[in-house]
Amino acid sequence: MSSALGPNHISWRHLKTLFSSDLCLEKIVNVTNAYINLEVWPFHFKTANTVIIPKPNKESYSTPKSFHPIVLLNTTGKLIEKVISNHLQFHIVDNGFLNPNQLGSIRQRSTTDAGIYLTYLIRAGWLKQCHTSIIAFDIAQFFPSLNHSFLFTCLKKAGLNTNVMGFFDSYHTGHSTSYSWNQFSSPYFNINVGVGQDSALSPILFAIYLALIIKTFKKRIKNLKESIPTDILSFVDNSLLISQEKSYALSSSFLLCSYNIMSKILLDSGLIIEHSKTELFHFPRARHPPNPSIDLLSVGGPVIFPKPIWQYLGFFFDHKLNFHYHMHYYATKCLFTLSTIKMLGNSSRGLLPIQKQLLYRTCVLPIALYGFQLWFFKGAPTIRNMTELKKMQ
Amino acid sequence: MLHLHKLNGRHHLRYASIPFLHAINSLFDSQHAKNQLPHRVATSKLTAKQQAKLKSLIKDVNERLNSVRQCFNSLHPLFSSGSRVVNHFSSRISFYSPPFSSDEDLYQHLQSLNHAFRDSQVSSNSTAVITDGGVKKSQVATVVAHIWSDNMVIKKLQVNSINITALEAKLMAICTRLIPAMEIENVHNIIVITDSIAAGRKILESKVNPLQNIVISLTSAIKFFFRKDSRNKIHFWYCPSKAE
Repeated sequence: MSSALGPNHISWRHLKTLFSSDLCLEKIVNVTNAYINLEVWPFHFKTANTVIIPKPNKESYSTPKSFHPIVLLNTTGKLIEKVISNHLQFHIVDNGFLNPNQLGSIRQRSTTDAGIYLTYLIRAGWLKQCHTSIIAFDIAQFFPSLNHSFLFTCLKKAGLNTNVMGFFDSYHTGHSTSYSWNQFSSPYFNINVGVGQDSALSPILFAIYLALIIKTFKKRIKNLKESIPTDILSFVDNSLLISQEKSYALSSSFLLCSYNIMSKILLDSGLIIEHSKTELFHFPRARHPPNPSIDLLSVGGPVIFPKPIWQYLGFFFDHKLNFHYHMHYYATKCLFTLSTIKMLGNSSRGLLPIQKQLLYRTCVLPIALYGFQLWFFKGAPTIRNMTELKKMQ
Repeated sequence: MLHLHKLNGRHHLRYASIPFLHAINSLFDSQHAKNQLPHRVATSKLTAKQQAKLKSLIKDVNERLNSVRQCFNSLHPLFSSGSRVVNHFSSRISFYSPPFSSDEDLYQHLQSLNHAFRDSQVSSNSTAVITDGGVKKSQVATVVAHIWSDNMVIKKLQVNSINITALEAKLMAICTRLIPAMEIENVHNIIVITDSIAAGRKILESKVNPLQNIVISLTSAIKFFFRKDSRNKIHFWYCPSKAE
């Protein structure tokens, strides 16, 4: 409801009032169906304003990566995109096209699920006398780099009919945007690469794109002379390659081989792994583990050394999965939030107790309890983490 | 601590409704993921000793959801008081079973059944549905159901299934052939001959029971059949499997 207005200056509040009438609702449904049947996405939904905002706390602002582009589209177009996205997601999930280990940008699949999945794998691996080694990699410029012809192949494989394919053909061509910087506005430029980051259809299109990549990866490692037991977990553009073995040498070679294969598949599909962001982490069983590094020179990357704490999707993993650092980090963050809450209120009096309670429940508790499912379960040692929570309270 | 327990409990229940093709489902027992291969470290692949040692949220969820069955829907409007079939059409559905288990009573009951069956074959407005279902020692259930009209079998069905109880098999047999029988034109009387009158009574049962999901489609079809014509009736007759 509070998002910035697009070029037509119609807000979500206007649309909500408009579509409370059944007649208007029927019209918009008919219009949406007509777009699909006629295989067209109108030009006025393809024009956008891109506002350039500098990212805070950057050392240098000489590279484009130091800026954050915000794309403002027409809200009516966004509404229709949302409707199509919901239908598409239902169809794709129902048909089982997506890989079960794709956890991002799909309903009922959250970061907590990814964390729970990972912690379970590690604990179950320890019971089988295996350590777990993980390579986390990031896809560079994921949203703007999607290749349209590869995306069509993915949509075709997903079993969509010709009308929908035609619609997406029209949807991906003829986009234009103007860039706004402070008071300056540029003329309109054509954009015919990638999918708009602000588009409601983007998450499901990325999921479909990745599904085919993961399928190809699984097929390739299965068809090797000696199949590699590497697991993959993907959360939008952050993916993990997981290996569970008794020997570090074996798991490192499996991970390196899988990483090689994955980088080649991604390159073929028009994407590049950002090697500088690749991370390695071991979850050992032994008290004094060797903690070996992996050399990525063969794929053009650096030698990566495991860190003492690994951050993934907002969770801070440590070797023994006790999440002490994670709790400490979020408890400190909550204290900071609480200190800023004190600043609210006017000059004569502060906030009412009921307002403070509301703020605590909505702004502090969700931060403090983020990912608590990873360390709070039957039989888990929770004393230290609970002490942190109590201190924060 | 109490708040965390409450939140954790809610989180456990969330996994009862996740889709089959979900990463978390692959870690559960094989019972939870029928369409999917379990992960190589899934709970079902661990030994009993390892399972006892395992401490994880997945284990807690697995233990909690083991007693939850997906095949009941007590909140369906068909089971709400005032809209049940028995509330509106109690005079149009009847059950015939021998009052006592003595041979004489059974003989008399079978005589009446023979008479009713012959009448149904002579009349053009009647049809008979004969059903049987059971579970063998090999845990394979067999469901057999026929529709008879004019002394001829007009529709046949024989299906084998696993992981179902004998009562579910008998109810499935009734469901699969009673619905097509009700769709035949100009049929006002249907005789259902079954070896389990309890399975027939389950259709009208208003209490929460695990067979409700099977019953939903049949109950709505029966409701439609009765509303279509005031002459439409269904009679359930008990017939033991070994009767000759």
